[in-house]
Amino acid sequence: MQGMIEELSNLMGVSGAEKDVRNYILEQIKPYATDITVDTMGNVIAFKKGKAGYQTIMVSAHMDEVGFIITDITDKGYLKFATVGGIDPKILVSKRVKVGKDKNDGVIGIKAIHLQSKEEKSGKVSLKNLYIDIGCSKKEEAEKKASIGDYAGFAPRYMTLGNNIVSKALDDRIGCALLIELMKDTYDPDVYFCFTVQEEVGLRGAKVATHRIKPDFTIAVETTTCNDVADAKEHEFSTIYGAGAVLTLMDRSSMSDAKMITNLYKKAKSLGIPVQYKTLAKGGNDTGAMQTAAGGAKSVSLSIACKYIHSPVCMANKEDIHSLYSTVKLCIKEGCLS
Amino acid sequence: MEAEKLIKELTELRGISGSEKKVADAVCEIVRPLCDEVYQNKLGSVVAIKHCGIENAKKVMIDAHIDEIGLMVTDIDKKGFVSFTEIGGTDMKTLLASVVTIHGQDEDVTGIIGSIPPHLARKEDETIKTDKLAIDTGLTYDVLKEKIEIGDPITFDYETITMGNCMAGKTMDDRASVAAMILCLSKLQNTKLNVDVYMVGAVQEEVGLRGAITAAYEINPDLAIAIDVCHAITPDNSDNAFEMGKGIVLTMGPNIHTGVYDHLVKTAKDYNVPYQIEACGGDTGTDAWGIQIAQNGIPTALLSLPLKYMHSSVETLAISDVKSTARLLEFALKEMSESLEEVFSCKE
Repeated sequence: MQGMIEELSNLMGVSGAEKDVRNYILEQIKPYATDITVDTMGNVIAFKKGKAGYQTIMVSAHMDEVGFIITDITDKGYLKFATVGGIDPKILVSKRVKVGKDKNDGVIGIKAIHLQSKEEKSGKVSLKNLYIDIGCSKKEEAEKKASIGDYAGFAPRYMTLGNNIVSKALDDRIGCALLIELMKDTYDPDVYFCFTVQEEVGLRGAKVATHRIKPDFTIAVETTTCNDVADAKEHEFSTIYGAGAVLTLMDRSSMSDAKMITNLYKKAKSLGIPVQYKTLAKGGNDTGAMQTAAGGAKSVSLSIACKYIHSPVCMANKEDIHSLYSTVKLCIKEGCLS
Repeated sequence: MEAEKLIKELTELRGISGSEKKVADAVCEIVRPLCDEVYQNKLGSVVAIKHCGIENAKKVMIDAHIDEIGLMVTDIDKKGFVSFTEIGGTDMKTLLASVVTIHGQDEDVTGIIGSIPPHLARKEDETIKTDKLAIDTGLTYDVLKEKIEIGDPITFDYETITMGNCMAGKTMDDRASVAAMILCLSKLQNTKLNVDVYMVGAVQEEVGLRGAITAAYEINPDLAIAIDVCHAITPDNSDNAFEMGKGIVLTMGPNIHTGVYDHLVKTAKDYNVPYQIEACGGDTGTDAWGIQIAQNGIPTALLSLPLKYMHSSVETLAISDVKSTARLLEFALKEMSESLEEVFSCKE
């Protein structure tokens, strides 16, 4: 599965331009689905027929990643951009990006430290001052490589560090890879495996997919924040890195079904699957859309604690990936113990 | 010798100020076939000599520095996070979400410099607190402490890429200039000059020009030309900056000997090498500043390559500017006479 996470993470699929990721997934899941629909927004809805008399489950992971969209090309051939999804502008300085369908190389630079004023040196970075340099010196030259409206993403670079993987877009290609893997098994309930678009810009793909499916309950398979990092106090931690699958009781976008999530927690613990509750009600994911779409559905959010999320160097623990896989499978198999 | 390949090879070498050994070894290997003699001096600078065969020939030193900016390990905490200090003027703002290599005694360890995600950002996270940055290697303290220790050097871990006519990567400052010197030597391989050429790859420029000062003392050349980078114009700055891709920058000012400068300008004109002029009222901040006052004083000039985003891992320059520099050096050396009279009989 790690090979698949690597391949998926290396693809560019900024919200609204998930095509490469979608095509990869369609190819992978073909043998395992009863039926596959690509809806008008680009969501992949893969149906796996179960036995009669069971509930309908929707399991989702989002295909899109945070990135950029080109908003202007300057006379000197630099690209101005807006962010797509939540990116901290401070991490963008000196980063490498790929621009447009041809994935042209670009870099985001700022004036050298020697030239910065005292205020500029202070460490504030404003998005409006940033631009992408694609090695052109004139507008006409740059227009051959990029157009306004082109998407750009972090340059892919997948690494293994000890027992961890590091890459852009682990949010949520880990989820996509887990869904593909889970599709290889058989289940009693009817299961819709959904690979959604536009999660990062407002959970938009999941909303329409849920409306189409009208599931009895939903499971989001996600990556979630982890500030179990150097510069954070313990009471600020949202999740503990390496401590197993994360079960979200509540975040900014949704509340997991209380009975389902606590039952799942107990069952997983009893089976020796490492699980933890998320301890900060921050962030949000597709569950926010799935819980309320089409009259509502019972929902749970299951995630992996991912350090440095929404950056080119997201980091995830290999054992956590395995714990999440086991937890999601348990959740589907046991009908969420409802 | 192909410029692009050479620039990529040299810039991807790792060696912060004070730890340049691997870079020096690699540079020695590349220049050995192009010169008569090559060695590393006491501080570790590379000196490559091309003799002209004339007895008591005049000595011309060409210099670029081989060290790079970087970081150094200051602490390893119990969770395995590595804190660091900067060496040589690294802009800490460029470090978030980047990949680095910690050079342990026996092995290299890759790590990333992370930050609090935007979802959880606190008020104080609006600005980068450089003293709070740390490297995450994904290894536990127990594993890590066997591999690295306080004082180990840290470098950026990035490939050099080509974007159209430009190249971007770490350490263009100043390995692109080293590349220009090597390209020049390779052009001169079968040329009989009237002077001895001493090519210096100087250490410790970024922390105080120490390699160049000591190499100039040791060689005691009759004249010297330093090659370094200057700022190229970017959308956020045009002050004290030059057009990239419009040729090498020749500096004029108290750091520069007028005769050597005039010789370079004349050569550029005669051979149609594009150039720009920079006026600098004092310290050029380059090896030229140190070389000029070595021994009894050395007539010195400075060539600079326009470079964007200096002291970051995406330093960007035009390949054509490196080639122009190599060409100008080549013809400037060819045009020097045995007595260097044309250089020293200059008008003031």
